[in-house]
Amino acid sequence: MKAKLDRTLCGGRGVCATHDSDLFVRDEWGYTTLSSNDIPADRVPAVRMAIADCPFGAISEYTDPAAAP
Amino acid sequence: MSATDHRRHLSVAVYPGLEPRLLRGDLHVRETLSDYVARGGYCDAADPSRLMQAIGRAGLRGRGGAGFPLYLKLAAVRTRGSSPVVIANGEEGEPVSLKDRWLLRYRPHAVLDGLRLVARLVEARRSYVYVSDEHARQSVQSALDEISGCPWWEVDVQVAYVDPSYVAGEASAAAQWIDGGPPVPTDKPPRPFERGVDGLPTLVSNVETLAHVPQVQRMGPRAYRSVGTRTSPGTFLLTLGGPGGGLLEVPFGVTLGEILAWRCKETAEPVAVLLGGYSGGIFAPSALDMELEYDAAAAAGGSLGCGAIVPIRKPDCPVGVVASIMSYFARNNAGQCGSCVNGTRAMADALESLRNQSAGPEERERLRRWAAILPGRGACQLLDGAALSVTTLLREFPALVEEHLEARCSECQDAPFEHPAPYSTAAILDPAMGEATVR
Repeated sequence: MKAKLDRTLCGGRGVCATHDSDLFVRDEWGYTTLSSNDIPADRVPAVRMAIADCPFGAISEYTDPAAAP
Repeated sequence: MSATDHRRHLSVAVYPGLEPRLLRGDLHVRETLSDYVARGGYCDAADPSRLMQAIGRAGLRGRGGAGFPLYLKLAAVRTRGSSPVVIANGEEGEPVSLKDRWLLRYRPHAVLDGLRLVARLVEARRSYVYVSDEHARQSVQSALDEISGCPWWEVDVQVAYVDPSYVAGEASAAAQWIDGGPPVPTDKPPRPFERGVDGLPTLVSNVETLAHVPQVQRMGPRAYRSVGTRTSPGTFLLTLGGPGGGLLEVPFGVTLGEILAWRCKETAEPVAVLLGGYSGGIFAPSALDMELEYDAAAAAGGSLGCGAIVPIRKPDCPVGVVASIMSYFARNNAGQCGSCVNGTRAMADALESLRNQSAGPEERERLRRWAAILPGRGACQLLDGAALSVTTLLREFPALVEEHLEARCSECQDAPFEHPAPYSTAAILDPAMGEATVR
């Protein structure tokens, strides 16, 4: 699975980091960046929770446009 | 060859012994279609695969800031197929640079010729020239009016005008603006070459890069590489700030020391060097010996960026310069990414107190920490450049920083350096060079 976190949408609540603080790394103001777009299989459930819980809709599953049908 | 527009103090010159590729003899007159054709422009487009090969062999790298090989960009868009879009990016957001506006104002056909060739290579559906300078817009529009009647002109080109801003020139901002959105960067992925205007693969290329393409076509890769270095072949347009500065065409690989010996014999030795405009780092005078090319700048921990360089001389203090640049970033970022909005403001506050000689060692440690953790946390590279200015200031000027912590900088005591956009070229270019003539 590939995921992306749109930093222009992130509001810094940090809900994502409660699901996986290694993938969702917060700065000292609370804003998050995704440490890798490639999500290992064992982290996929946490990322799905983060996608569902982000109050800003900043996290999404990512599909390469060239690979899209 | 050199000429100075005395009314507006823009000096334009070619490095001694160099056969100019982008600058011309009549440096302040707009080149017409017939002038350009007489100089060998708009020659028959070569077989696309041959031109593609030539661009790869010539080693042409993007002149907008990243130095990314044009061949790879073209290949990435070509493999995506589906009628891509091409954007000639002339939105020169970097305050210290003026070369893109100069090219668009005076050599619009060189840019359009490159755009034509590249659009053909990727089989583009349509193309844009993206500008934020009214005189550039008029110049390109006139050039398009001149050329639209020519039977061999087969490219659909529109001029897209945007109000100037620091972030509007970022590639994804250009694509988003042309798509009807605000001219601010979007987060990656996707990059414009994956999904840009109308969701189509979009090639965004700097106007100077495009102006080099007809040169590659005419000269061939071997002759193109006859100047420059192995990994940065050819010439580039250098916007040199300060006394003796101006717009210069130089081969990659010359040192700043050689350029200052040529241009600035009478002026004082610099105390620091600003590389790549505001975003490529600030360096001690030892950087005068560094070869000006992408890889040497990167190896020195900086970036050549769009080729804008400012020698900083007394009484300007490097700490004050970086503090002013950081305040500029804090005011002129896109206001989108929390890490950038907060990070640039925090670094600006810390640098201002350092310049005012009221900071303590804890401020320096905070700056060090922010410069280390903030890169990569924004949708565009503004925050990376901002952090680089701090990293290089602390690394290249440890004694000077210490002096400020101990309130011993006499320059900052007397008149602290403070400017809303240090060394900006706006005063040189505006009001326009539009009707300027050769001296």
